[in-house]
Formats: sequence, C-alpha cells, structure tokens
Amino acid sequence: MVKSATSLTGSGVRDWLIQRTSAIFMTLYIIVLAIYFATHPAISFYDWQSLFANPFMRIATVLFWLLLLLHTWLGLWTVVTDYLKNTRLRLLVLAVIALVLFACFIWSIEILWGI
Amino acid sequence: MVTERRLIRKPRPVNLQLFTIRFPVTAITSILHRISGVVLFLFLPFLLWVFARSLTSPDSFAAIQDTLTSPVSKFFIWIFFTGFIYHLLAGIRHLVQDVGYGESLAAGRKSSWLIIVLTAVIAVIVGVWLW
Repeated sequence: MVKSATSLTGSGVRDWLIQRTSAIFMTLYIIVLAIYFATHPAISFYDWQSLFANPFMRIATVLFWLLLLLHTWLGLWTVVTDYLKNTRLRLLVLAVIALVLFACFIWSIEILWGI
Repeated sequence: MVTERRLIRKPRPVNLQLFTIRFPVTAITSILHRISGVVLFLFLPFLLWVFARSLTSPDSFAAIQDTLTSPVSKFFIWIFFTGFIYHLLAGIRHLVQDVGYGESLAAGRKSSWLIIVLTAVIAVIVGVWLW
C-alpha cells in the first residue's frame, strides 16, 4: 500500500491516535483555563502575566499550541484531500496550511518566552 | 492510480446539487463538525495575536481589552465561541463512539440532536452574556 506523503504520520491509526490524544489534552487545558477565569473575576495584566510565567503553565501552554498544530493539520489534511483532487493545487494548499501552522507554533513559543 | 483509470469504462455519476439530496441529522452534525473546524483554523492567527498583545505590556493589555469589548469584536467572539463549543461537543461525541457507546443508528441520531440543541442553548447564553 502506498503511504501518503502529506499526512501527519503516514499511518492512519497513528494519525487517529494523535487526533484523539491532542483533543483530550487541549480540552483539559481549556477546562483549567476556564476554571481560572471563573475564579478570577477581575484579571489584571500582572495576574495574567504571572499565570503564564509559571513554568508549568508555560510548558502546558506551548504543549497546547503544539498539539493544536498537529490536531489542526490532521483535520485540514482530511478536508483538503477530500475536496482537492488536482494534485498541484492540493499540494500547494497543503503547503500553505503547513507553513501557516508552523509559523503559528513558532509564534506561540516566542509569545511565551518573551514574558 | 493510472492503471485504475484505464480499467474504468466511463466515470461514475456525480450529483453535486446538494439541495436535491436528503441529509440525515447525523450527516448535518458531521459536516458542521468539519465546517466549525475550518472556521476555528481561520481564527487561529487572530487568537494568537490577542494572546500576544495581552502579555506584552499593561498598556497593550488594556488596549486589547478595549478592542475585545467593541460590538464588532463581540460578534466575532460569539461566532468563534459557538463554533468552538459545537466542535468540542461533536468531538466528544466522536470520542464516546470511539470507545463503543452510542454507535447504533438511534443513539447516533439522538446524540446528533443533543449536540445541536446544546450548542444552540449555549450560543444563546453566550450571546446574552456578551450583550
């Protein structure tokens, strides 16, 4: 069987696992963030900054953005391969999306280590 | 792929006139999951920008707070939230079905309706909260 050159891992099962795992972690992260918002009605800049300066939160947040990148790629790859049958166009669109996602991830590191 | 094409005598019929096709509710939830995913992706750079501005300085934090309370921003925040909640609920439905629960047709239909109704309710609540 031919392995896809553009899917995340080349293995359907592995992609499926990453999709689910990333979804679960991201959901937990968002729940934690939601609890933070619920328990801190008025957040100042300093409250907000110290939240993300915390090493655990910082690492968890970068992890969140990384997993979001992977999760998003998997989803968009599925959509693009479903609808774009012209090879050149499909590869072009996938390349642009990959670059955008990578750029976003690098940006997230820059944001969190710029504190 | 080239050999497959030679074996096909003529192409299979294609009907892309969506309004002539009857869609079960489960098909609706599925396509909405896909659409909400794409919409969330489109919001991504903006989300990062807001995040970046909120952490740069007390001034940019205050400026972002102002921006986010404008009517235009509220509208887009509402769109984002609704899309996110829908995608999350439909995703949880996927996960639950992955572990084996609710995979029957009847259960699938029920859970489809459930997430649509839940999202609509939450969308209204968020809308009220925003305005």
